[in-house]
Amino acid sequence: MSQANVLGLVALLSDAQADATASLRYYQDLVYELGEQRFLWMSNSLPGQVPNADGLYTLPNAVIDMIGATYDGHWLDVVDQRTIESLDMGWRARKGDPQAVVYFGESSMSYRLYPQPAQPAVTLTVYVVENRVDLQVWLDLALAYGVLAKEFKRESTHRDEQYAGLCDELHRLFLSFLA
Amino acid sequence: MNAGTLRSILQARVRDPVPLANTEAQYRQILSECQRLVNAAGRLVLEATPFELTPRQPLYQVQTNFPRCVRIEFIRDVDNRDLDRVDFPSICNYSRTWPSDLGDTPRSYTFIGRDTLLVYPAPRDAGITITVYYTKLLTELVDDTINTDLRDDDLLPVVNLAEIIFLAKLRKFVDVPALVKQFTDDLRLIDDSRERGIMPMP
Repeated sequence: MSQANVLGLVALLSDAQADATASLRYYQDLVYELGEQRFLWMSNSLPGQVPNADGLYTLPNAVIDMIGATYDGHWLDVVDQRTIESLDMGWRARKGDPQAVVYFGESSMSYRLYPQPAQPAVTLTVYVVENRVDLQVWLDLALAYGVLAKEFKRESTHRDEQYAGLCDELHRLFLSFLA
Repeated sequence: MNAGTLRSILQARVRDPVPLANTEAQYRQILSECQRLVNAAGRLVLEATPFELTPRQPLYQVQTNFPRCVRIEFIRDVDNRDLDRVDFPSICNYSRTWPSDLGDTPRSYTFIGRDTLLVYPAPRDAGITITVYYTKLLTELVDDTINTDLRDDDLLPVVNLAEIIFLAKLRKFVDVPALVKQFTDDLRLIDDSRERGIMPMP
Protein backbone atom coordinates (compact mmCIF):
# COMPACT_ATOMS: atom_id res chain seq x y z
CA MET A 1 0.00 0.00 0.00
CA SER A 2 2.73 2.40 -0.96
CA GLN A 3 0.53 5.24 -2.25
CA ALA A 4 -1.63 5.31 0.89
CA ASN A 5 1.43 5.13 3.13
CA VAL A 6 3.25 7.89 1.23
CA LEU A 7 0.23 10.18 1.47
CA GLY A 8 -0.03 9.38 5.19
CA LEU A 9 3.63 10.36 5.62
CA VAL A 10 3.01 13.58 3.69
CA ALA A 11 0.13 14.47 6.03
CA LEU A 12 2.28 13.69 9.08
CA LEU A 13 5.39 15.56 7.93
CA SER A 14 3.41 18.60 6.81
CA ASP A 15 1.39 18.73 10.06
CA ALA A 16 -1.71 18.16 7.91
CA GLN A 17 -1.02 21.36 5.94
CA ALA A 18 -0.58 19.51 2.64
CA ASP A 19 -3.65 19.50 0.42
CA ALA A 20 -4.78 15.89 -0.07
CA THR A 21 -5.86 16.32 -3.70
CA ALA A 22 -2.68 18.16 -4.69
CA SER A 23 -0.54 15.60 -2.83
CA LEU A 24 -2.16 12.72 -4.72
CA ARG A 25 -1.51 14.48 -8.04
CA TYR A 26 2.11 15.20 -7.06
CA TYR A 27 2.56 11.56 -6.07
CA GLN A 28 1.24 10.41 -9.45
CA ASP A 29 3.47 12.92 -11.26
CA LEU A 30 6.48 11.73 -9.27
CA VAL A 31 5.89 8.06 -10.08
CA TYR A 32 5.53 8.96 -13.76
CA GLU A 33 8.72 11.07 -13.72
CA LEU A 34 10.64 8.17 -12.19
CA GLY A 35 9.30 5.92 -14.95
CA GLU A 36 10.43 8.41 -17.60
CA GLN A 37 13.91 8.34 -16.07
CA ARG A 38 13.73 4.55 -16.54
CA PHE A 39 13.73 4.03 -12.82
CA LEU A 40 13.66 0.36 -13.54
CA TRP A 41 12.04 -0.90 -10.41
CA MET A 42 8.92 -0.29 -12.49
CA SER A 43 9.65 -2.96 -15.09
CA ASN A 44 7.12 -5.58 -16.11
CA SER A 45 6.55 -8.18 -18.82
CA LEU A 46 3.49 -8.27 -21.07
CA PRO A 47 3.11 -11.73 -22.63
CA GLY A 48 0.81 -12.70 -25.48
CA GLN A 49 0.99 -9.48 -27.51
CA VAL A 50 -1.24 -9.63 -30.62
CA PRO A 51 -0.93 -7.27 -33.63
CA ASN A 52 -3.72 -5.70 -35.71
CA ALA A 53 -4.15 -6.53 -39.40
CA ASP A 54 -1.35 -4.06 -40.35
CA GLY A 55 1.17 -5.69 -37.99
CA LEU A 56 0.91 -2.84 -35.49
CA TYR A 57 0.93 -3.67 -31.78
CA THR A 58 -0.70 -1.41 -29.20
CA LEU A 59 0.56 -1.02 -25.65
CA PRO A 60 -1.59 -0.47 -22.55
CA ASN A 61 -1.86 3.13 -21.33
CA ALA A 62 0.16 2.36 -18.21
CA VAL A 63 3.32 1.80 -20.28
CA ILE A 64 5.91 4.59 -20.11
CA ASP A 65 8.74 3.08 -22.14
CA MET A 66 9.83 -0.18 -23.81
CA ILE A 67 12.89 -2.20 -22.78
CA GLY A 68 12.77 -4.99 -25.39
CA ALA A 69 10.95 -8.16 -26.36
CA THR A 70 11.36 -11.89 -26.66
CA TYR A 71 10.12 -13.47 -29.87
CA ASP A 72 10.27 -17.16 -30.65
CA GLY A 73 13.14 -17.68 -28.22
CA HIS A 74 15.11 -14.60 -29.36
CA TRP A 75 15.74 -11.26 -27.68
CA LEU A 76 14.81 -8.17 -29.71
CA ASP A 77 16.25 -4.73 -28.89
CA VAL A 78 14.18 -1.58 -29.20
CA VAL A 79 14.98 0.98 -31.90
CA ASP A 80 13.16 4.22 -32.61
CA GLN A 81 11.55 5.09 -35.93
CA ARG A 82 14.21 7.62 -36.95
CA THR A 83 17.01 5.09 -36.46
CA ILE A 84 15.34 2.34 -38.46
CA GLU A 85 14.48 4.78 -41.28
CA SER A 86 18.09 5.91 -41.47
CA LEU A 87 19.17 2.27 -41.79
CA ASP A 88 16.43 0.94 -44.08
CA MET A 89 14.04 3.26 -45.94
CA GLY A 90 11.80 0.35 -46.91
CA TRP A 91 11.67 -1.14 -43.45
CA ARG A 92 7.87 -1.27 -43.22
CA ALA A 93 7.66 -3.68 -46.17
CA ARG A 94 10.39 -6.07 -44.99
CA LYS A 95 9.35 -9.63 -44.18
CA GLY A 96 11.36 -12.21 -42.30
CA ASP A 97 12.45 -13.26 -38.82
CA PRO A 98 12.13 -10.25 -36.49
CA GLN A 99 15.44 -8.71 -35.37
CA ALA A 100 14.20 -5.62 -33.50
CA VAL A 101 11.20 -3.80 -32.13
CA VAL A 102 10.42 -0.40 -33.64
CA TYR A 103 8.80 1.70 -30.90
CA PHE A 104 6.88 4.79 -32.02
CA GLY A 105 7.08 6.46 -28.65
CA GLU A 106 4.78 7.47 -25.88
CA SER A 107 2.52 9.55 -28.11
CA SER A 108 1.27 6.59 -30.13
CA MET A 109 1.85 3.77 -27.62
CA SER A 110 2.50 1.35 -30.46
CA TYR A 111 5.30 -0.66 -32.06
CA ARG A 112 6.09 -2.97 -34.95
CA LEU A 113 8.43 -5.91 -35.35
CA TYR A 114 11.26 -5.49 -37.87
CA PRO A 115 11.20 -7.29 -40.21
CA GLN A 116 7.57 -8.30 -39.97
CA PRO A 117 7.05 -12.04 -39.49
CA ALA A 118 5.03 -13.86 -42.12
CA GLN A 119 2.87 -15.34 -39.35
CA PRO A 120 1.63 -13.30 -36.38
CA ALA A 121 3.81 -14.01 -33.37
CA VAL A 122 2.28 -16.26 -30.77
CA THR A 123 5.30 -16.17 -28.44
CA LEU A 124 5.89 -12.41 -28.28
CA THR A 125 6.47 -10.94 -24.82
CA VAL A 126 7.43 -7.29 -24.41
CA TYR A 127 9.31 -5.84 -21.44
CA VAL A 128 8.28 -2.36 -20.43
CA VAL A 129 8.62 0.38 -17.88
CA GLU A 130 5.12 0.94 -16.55
CA ASN A 131 3.29 3.48 -14.47
CA ARG A 132 2.07 2.13 -11.14
CA VAL A 133 -0.14 3.14 -8.26
CA ASP A 134 2.17 1.58 -5.67
CA LEU A 135 5.94 1.34 -5.71
CA GLN A 136 8.03 -0.73 -3.31
CA VAL A 137 7.44 0.20 0.32
CA TRP A 138 11.07 1.00 1.16
CA LEU A 139 10.81 3.90 -1.29
CA ASP A 140 7.97 5.48 0.69
CA LEU A 141 10.06 8.00 2.61
CA ALA A 142 11.91 9.10 -0.53
CA LEU A 143 8.62 9.55 -2.39
CA ALA A 144 6.98 11.37 0.52
CA TYR A 145 9.79 13.96 0.47
CA GLY A 146 9.37 14.33 -3.29
CA VAL A 147 5.70 15.14 -2.77
CA LEU A 148 6.46 17.49 0.15
CA ALA A 149 9.01 19.37 -1.97
CA LYS A 150 6.37 20.08 -4.63
CA GLU A 151 3.65 20.84 -2.07
CA PHE A 152 5.65 23.43 -0.12
CA LYS A 153 7.04 25.04 -3.27
CA ARG A 154 3.66 25.88 -4.83
CA GLU A 155 1.70 29.07 -4.19
CA SER A 156 -0.39 28.48 -1.08
CA THR A 157 -0.99 29.72 2.43
CA HIS A 158 1.63 27.29 3.72
CA ARG A 159 4.32 27.92 1.10
CA ASP A 160 7.78 27.39 2.68
CA GLU A 161 10.70 27.48 0.29
CA GLN A 162 13.27 26.56 2.92
CA TYR A 163 11.36 23.42 3.90
CA ALA A 164 10.65 22.65 0.22
CA GLY A 165 14.37 22.90 -0.53
CA LEU A 166 15.29 20.55 2.31
CA CYS A 167 12.56 18.09 1.25
CA ASP A 168 13.90 18.12 -2.29
CA GLU A 169 17.46 17.53 -1.00
CA LEU A 170 16.31 14.56 1.11
CA HIS A 171 14.24 13.15 -1.77
CA ARG A 172 17.27 13.19 -4.09
CA LEU A 173 19.62 11.90 -1.38
CA PHE A 174 17.40 8.93 -0.55
CA LEU A 175 16.91 8.02 -4.21
CA SER A 176 20.66 8.21 -4.80
CA PHE A 177 21.23 5.69 -2.00
CA LEU A 178 18.44 3.39 -3.19
CA ALA A 179 18.89 3.49 -6.97
CA MET B 1 17.20 -3.08 20.41
CA ASN B 2 13.44 -2.78 20.54
CA ALA B 3 11.30 -0.02 19.08
CA GLY B 4 10.46 1.43 22.50
CA THR B 5 14.13 2.02 23.39
CA LEU B 6 14.84 3.50 19.97
CA ARG B 7 11.84 5.78 20.32
CA SER B 8 13.02 7.00 23.77
CA ILE B 9 16.47 7.81 22.36
CA LEU B 10 14.92 9.72 19.48
CA GLN B 11 12.51 11.66 21.70
CA ALA B 12 15.42 12.70 23.95
CA ARG B 13 17.37 13.84 20.88
CA VAL B 14 14.50 16.04 19.64
CA ARG B 15 13.74 17.24 23.20
CA ASP B 16 10.24 15.81 23.31
CA PRO B 17 10.48 13.11 26.01
CA VAL B 18 6.82 13.22 27.12
CA PRO B 19 5.94 13.36 24.06
CA LEU B 20 4.00 16.50 23.11
CA ALA B 21 5.05 17.53 19.60
CA ASN B 22 4.21 14.14 18.07
CA THR B 23 2.57 10.93 19.25
CA GLU B 24 4.53 7.80 20.19
CA ALA B 25 3.01 6.08 17.14
CA GLN B 26 4.31 8.85 14.86
CA TYR B 27 7.84 8.57 16.28
CA ARG B 28 7.67 4.80 15.82
CA GLN B 29 6.35 5.13 12.26
CA ILE B 30 9.20 7.40 11.20
CA LEU B 31 11.78 5.15 12.92
CA SER B 32 10.26 2.22 11.06
CA GLU B 33 10.61 4.04 7.72
CA CYS B 34 14.16 5.10 8.58
CA GLN B 35 15.35 1.60 9.51
CA ARG B 36 13.94 0.28 6.22
CA LEU B 37 15.61 3.02 4.21
CA VAL B 38 18.98 2.64 5.97
CA ASN B 39 18.88 -1.14 5.53
CA ALA B 40 17.88 -0.84 1.86
CA ALA B 41 20.66 1.67 1.22
CA GLY B 42 23.32 -0.06 3.34
CA ARG B 43 22.39 -3.70 2.51
CA LEU B 44 22.83 -4.59 6.16
CA VAL B 45 20.41 -7.44 6.88
CA LEU B 46 20.49 -10.26 4.36
CA GLU B 47 18.21 -13.27 4.06
CA ALA B 48 18.75 -16.48 2.07
CA THR B 49 15.97 -18.41 0.36
CA PRO B 50 16.35 -21.72 -1.53
CA PHE B 51 14.53 -21.48 -4.83
CA GLU B 52 13.76 -24.31 -7.23
CA LEU B 53 14.00 -23.28 -10.87
CA THR B 54 11.32 -24.23 -13.38
CA PRO B 55 12.62 -26.24 -16.36
CA ARG B 56 13.02 -24.15 -19.54
CA GLN B 57 12.13 -20.92 -17.75
CA PRO B 58 14.83 -18.22 -17.46
CA LEU B 59 12.70 -15.36 -16.06
CA TYR B 60 11.19 -14.91 -12.60
CA GLN B 61 9.38 -11.97 -11.01
CA VAL B 62 11.35 -10.89 -7.94
CA GLN B 63 8.48 -9.43 -5.91
CA THR B 64 6.26 -12.45 -6.54
CA ASN B 65 8.87 -15.06 -5.65
CA PHE B 66 10.72 -13.13 -2.91
CA PRO B 67 8.16 -10.82 -1.30
CA ARG B 68 10.53 -9.72 1.50
CA CYS B 69 13.34 -8.87 -0.92
CA VAL B 70 14.59 -5.32 -1.31
CA ARG B 71 17.46 -6.18 -3.64
CA ILE B 72 19.07 -9.46 -4.72
CA GLU B 73 22.74 -9.34 -3.69
CA PHE B 74 24.09 -12.68 -4.90
CA ILE B 75 22.99 -16.17 -5.90
CA ARG B 76 24.66 -19.53 -5.23
CA ASP B 77 24.11 -22.90 -6.86
CA VAL B 78 23.59 -26.19 -5.06
CA ASP B 79 27.39 -26.61 -4.67
CA ASN B 80 27.57 -23.22 -2.93
CA ARG B 81 29.31 -21.59 -5.90
CA ASP B 82 28.43 -18.01 -6.75
CA LEU B 83 26.63 -17.50 -10.02
CA ASP B 84 28.26 -14.71 -12.05
CA ARG B 85 26.36 -11.48 -11.99
CA VAL B 86 26.48 -9.90 -15.44
CA ASP B 87 24.70 -6.93 -16.94
CA PHE B 88 21.75 -7.49 -19.21
CA PRO B 89 23.36 -6.23 -22.46
CA SER B 90 26.21 -8.73 -21.93
CA ILE B 91 23.75 -11.64 -21.90
CA CYS B 92 22.16 -10.28 -25.09
CA ASN B 93 25.58 -9.86 -26.74
CA TYR B 94 26.62 -13.35 -25.67
CA SER B 95 23.48 -15.00 -26.98
CA ARG B 96 20.49 -13.46 -28.72
CA THR B 97 18.73 -16.76 -28.06
CA TRP B 98 19.06 -16.56 -24.27
CA PRO B 99 15.27 -16.93 -23.82
CA SER B 100 15.46 -20.45 -25.23
CA ASP B 101 19.02 -21.50 -24.29
CA LEU B 102 19.12 -24.51 -21.94
CA GLY B 103 21.81 -26.05 -19.75
CA ASP B 104 22.38 -28.57 -16.98
CA THR B 105 22.94 -25.88 -14.36
CA PRO B 106 22.74 -22.06 -14.38
CA ARG B 107 26.03 -20.12 -14.56
CA SER B 108 25.00 -16.50 -14.35
CA TYR B 109 22.18 -14.12 -13.64
CA THR B 110 21.06 -10.59 -14.38
CA PHE B 111 17.94 -8.45 -14.24
CA ILE B 112 15.56 -6.91 -16.72
CA GLY B 113 14.81 -3.83 -14.69
CA ARG B 114 14.80 -4.69 -11.02
CA ASP B 115 11.68 -6.77 -10.92
CA THR B 116 12.60 -9.50 -13.38
CA LEU B 117 15.37 -11.97 -12.53
CA LEU B 118 17.04 -13.70 -15.47
CA VAL B 119 18.85 -16.96 -14.64
CA TYR B 120 21.08 -18.16 -17.48
CA PRO B 121 20.92 -20.69 -18.94
CA ALA B 122 17.53 -22.02 -17.94
CA PRO B 123 17.74 -25.60 -16.65
CA ARG B 124 16.82 -28.35 -19.02
CA ASP B 125 15.35 -30.52 -16.26
CA ALA B 126 13.49 -30.14 -12.97
CA GLY B 127 15.19 -30.34 -9.56
CA ILE B 128 17.72 -27.51 -9.92
CA THR B 129 17.74 -25.37 -6.78
CA ILE B 130 19.63 -22.13 -6.25
CA THR B 131 19.94 -20.06 -3.08
CA VAL B 132 19.06 -16.40 -3.44
CA TYR B 133 20.62 -13.95 -0.96
CA TYR B 134 18.87 -10.63 -0.72
CA THR B 135 18.62 -7.53 1.41
CA LYS B 136 15.60 -8.14 3.58
CA LEU B 137 12.65 -5.81 3.91
CA LEU B 138 12.71 -5.13 7.66
CA THR B 139 9.71 -5.73 9.87
CA GLU B 140 7.56 -2.68 10.49
CA LEU B 141 7.87 -1.32 14.04
CA VAL B 142 4.17 -1.37 14.83
CA ASP B 143 4.62 -1.47 18.62
CA ASP B 144 7.34 -0.85 21.19
CA THR B 145 8.08 -4.52 21.85
CA ILE B 146 9.26 -5.27 18.31
CA ASN B 147 13.02 -5.67 17.94
CA THR B 148 14.68 -4.19 14.90
CA ASP B 149 16.73 -6.64 12.84
CA LEU B 150 19.59 -4.15 12.59
CA ARG B 151 22.62 -4.53 14.86
CA ASP B 152 22.96 -1.84 17.52
CA ASP B 153 26.06 -0.50 15.71
CA ASP B 154 23.93 0.19 12.63
CA LEU B 155 21.21 2.09 14.46
CA LEU B 156 23.06 5.41 14.68
CA PRO B 157 22.20 6.46 11.10
CA VAL B 158 18.59 5.40 11.74
CA VAL B 159 18.26 7.70 14.76
CA ASN B 160 20.20 10.46 12.98
CA LEU B 161 17.84 10.30 10.02
CA ALA B 162 14.73 10.30 12.23
CA GLU B 163 16.13 13.30 14.10
CA ILE B 164 16.63 15.16 10.80
CA ILE B 165 13.04 14.43 9.85
CA PHE B 166 11.52 15.66 13.12
CA LEU B 167 13.76 18.74 13.36
CA ALA B 168 12.79 19.66 9.80
CA LYS B 169 9.12 19.09 10.64
CA LEU B 170 9.49 21.57 13.52
CA ARG B 171 11.35 23.94 11.14
CA LYS B 172 14.43 23.81 13.38
CA PHE B 173 16.83 24.02 10.47
CA VAL B 174 20.01 25.09 12.29
CA ASP B 175 21.36 21.61 13.08
CA VAL B 176 19.96 19.88 10.00
CA PRO B 177 22.82 20.40 7.49
CA ALA B 178 25.39 18.91 9.92
CA LEU B 179 23.09 15.96 10.63
CA VAL B 180 22.48 15.35 6.91
CA LYS B 181 26.25 15.31 6.35
CA GLN B 182 26.70 12.93 9.29
CA PHE B 183 23.98 10.63 7.92
CA THR B 184 25.47 10.68 4.43
CA ASP B 185 28.96 9.96 5.79
CA ASP B 186 27.64 7.08 7.91
CA LEU B 187 26.02 5.43 4.90
CA ARG B 188 29.11 5.96 2.71
CA LEU B 189 31.23 4.41 5.47
CA ILE B 190 28.98 1.34 5.51
CA ASP B 191 29.30 1.11 1.72
CA ASP B 192 33.10 1.55 1.76
CA SER B 193 33.49 -1.03 4.53
CA ARG B 194 31.61 -3.62 2.52
CA GLU B 195 33.67 -2.97 -0.60
CA ARG B 196 36.88 -3.42 1.38
CA GLY B 197 35.54 -6.67 2.76
CA ILE B 198 35.48 -5.49 6.37
CA MET B 199 31.86 -6.41 6.95
CA PRO B 200 31.16 -10.13 7.11
CA MET B 201 29.15 -11.47 4.22
CA PRO B 202 27.27 -14.77 4.57
